[in-house]
Amino acid sequence: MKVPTYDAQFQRPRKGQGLPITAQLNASAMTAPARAFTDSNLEFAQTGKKIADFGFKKAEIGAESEALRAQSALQLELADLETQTLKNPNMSAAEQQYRTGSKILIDKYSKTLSNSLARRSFAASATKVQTQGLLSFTKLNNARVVAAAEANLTVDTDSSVKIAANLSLGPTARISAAVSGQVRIGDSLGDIGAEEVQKRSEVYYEDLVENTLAAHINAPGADVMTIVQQFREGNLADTVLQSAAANLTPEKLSDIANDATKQANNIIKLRTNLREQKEEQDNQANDALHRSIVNVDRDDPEAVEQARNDLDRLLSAGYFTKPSQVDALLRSLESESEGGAFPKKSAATDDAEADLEEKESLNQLSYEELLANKDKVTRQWYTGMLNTLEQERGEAETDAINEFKATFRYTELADRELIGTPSRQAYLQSTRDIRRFIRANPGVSYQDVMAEADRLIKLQKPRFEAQFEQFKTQSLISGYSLLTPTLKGKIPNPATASLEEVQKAVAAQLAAGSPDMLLLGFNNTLNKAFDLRIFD
Amino acid sequence: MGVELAIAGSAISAFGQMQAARGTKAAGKAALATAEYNKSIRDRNARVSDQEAKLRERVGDREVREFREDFGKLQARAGVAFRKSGVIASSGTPLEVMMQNANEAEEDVQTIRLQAATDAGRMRQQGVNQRLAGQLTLLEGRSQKMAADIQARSQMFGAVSSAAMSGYRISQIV
Repeated sequence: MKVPTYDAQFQRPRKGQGLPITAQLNASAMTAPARAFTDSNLEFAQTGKKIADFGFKKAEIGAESEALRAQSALQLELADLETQTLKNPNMSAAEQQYRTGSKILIDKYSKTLSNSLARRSFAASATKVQTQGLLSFTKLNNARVVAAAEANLTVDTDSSVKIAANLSLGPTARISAAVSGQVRIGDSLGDIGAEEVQKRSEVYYEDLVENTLAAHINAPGADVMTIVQQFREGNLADTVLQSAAANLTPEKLSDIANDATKQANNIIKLRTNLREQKEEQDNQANDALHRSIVNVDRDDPEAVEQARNDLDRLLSAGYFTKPSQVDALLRSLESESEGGAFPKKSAATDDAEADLEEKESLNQLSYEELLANKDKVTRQWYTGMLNTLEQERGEAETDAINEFKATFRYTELADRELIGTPSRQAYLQSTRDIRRFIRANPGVSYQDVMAEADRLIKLQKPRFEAQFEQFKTQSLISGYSLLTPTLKGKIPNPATASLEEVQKAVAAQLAAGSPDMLLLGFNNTLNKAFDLRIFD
Repeated sequence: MGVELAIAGSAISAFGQMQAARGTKAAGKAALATAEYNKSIRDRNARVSDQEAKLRERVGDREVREFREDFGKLQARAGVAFRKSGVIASSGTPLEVMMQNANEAEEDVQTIRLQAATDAGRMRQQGVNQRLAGQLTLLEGRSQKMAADIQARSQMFGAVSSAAMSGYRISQIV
């Protein structure tokens, strides 16, 4: 029998149709646009920040530049202010003045700035500049204070030295002044320091000794060399000097003595000069007296008598150095009855006067010669020449005369009868004229004399040139006309030939041994012409 | 000119920072919206899992019922067969055989029930997992929004302070 059995074999669907959905949004992707927007705007903000920073930087640079310009100008004005305030004699007031002035300047420049950034920048730098300026000013001002203290001390000690060296005061006053000066130096220790006090003390003692010794030397009628000798030996009786000298070294005392010796020599020289000056003044008075005698009106007997008395005074004063001077003057005062008559003006007196003037212009005229020629010249000329001889020739007159010599080719050896005549005439005329000018203008300057000399040369020169050329030609033609026909045939006529051709031919004849005297004379004239022509 | 440039630049910078703050705030909102959407999907999935679990339980009950019906029929045919062969089916060995069958069947019933309960439980766990994931997503979204809001406030503060600083600097120049 078969019995059915059952085995578990169940298979049925067990799930529904519902399924989970996997679709999900990505948060990062969903927020990306907003974040991109954020990033974009952050970049925008960053750009704005850069622009703003650039603007700020630009404004800062502009402000700094503006502040720097103001600072430079401020520095210049502070320097000016320093210079101005340092002129204030009151040092304390000067410092206050500088402080106030610098503040005013800072305010002034601060107001010129365009914005507050520039003002702040300027304020910082201005404070620095102001501080530096104040330091500089204070240093200079303090230096002035020290200098003023030193100057005051110098004045005080100089005053003490002056009183102590004043020999007209009593010993007590002098010693008191000397001690006072030393105390003053000691009291200034705090101002100038120990080293300076030491230096000033040494100088003070030195000054005391020098000034006191100088006072002794400069005393009227003092025996200066004896005083110096006594000082050298330490025997000069003066308490102040002895006390001060005790503080000086022997070397220093020796130096002072040497200086005093020089000073003594100078005093001796000065005394000599004063004496000579007095003598000079006396001489000037005597010269004036001499001129009054020379220029006296000879027609006035009383004046002539007075002149004679004055002459006696001059003689007693030893004014005259030569007897001929006295004789020349005495003869000028003689009346006609006394044989003192002078000739009237004539051609002869003119010639004599011209000769004597020429000699005088060459400094060759003596009183003796003038006296010897008294009878050949007029009274007026004679007294004028007495004046001329008495006066020394000035530099301007000498230079003017030399100018005439050079211009008119004047030589002292020029033959007055030959072709040198125009030179001599022009020279003498110009010399007379310039002397008249100098006498008519006492005290005239060198420039005026030379200007007058130039004027005279311009006046004389054309006439002189014409005369000279004429004289030269005439002299040569005249000499040539005297030659023998034979010589004339061998020597060319100077009227047509040149001087060189004529001289060559004359030289050839002389070399040939021609003994003709006329030829020699002609040769002499020819040589004169050559001598004078070298000035052309 | 420098001051004008500084003013313009400062304004641009402040505007840009304000806009950036707006963008950050918008990013926070977008993150929250995304999280809410994702949570709704997770919630829907959780509901599906719950429904599947219930279905599975119902299917298990029906399977037990159908099994019992089928087994009853089988036991009846077995009794008939014993009786046809002259074997008293309600005693001795036939009874033991039928008892054995009934025991086997009962074991399957319990297995079916256990299988259905296990499946339904797993599905419910899946639903719980989806729901939790949705809540986490929402929490993340809120957190992102909060962070974005804070960042936006920071940017706005930065913009204001930057503008104030620029204004101060400009006032120091002018």
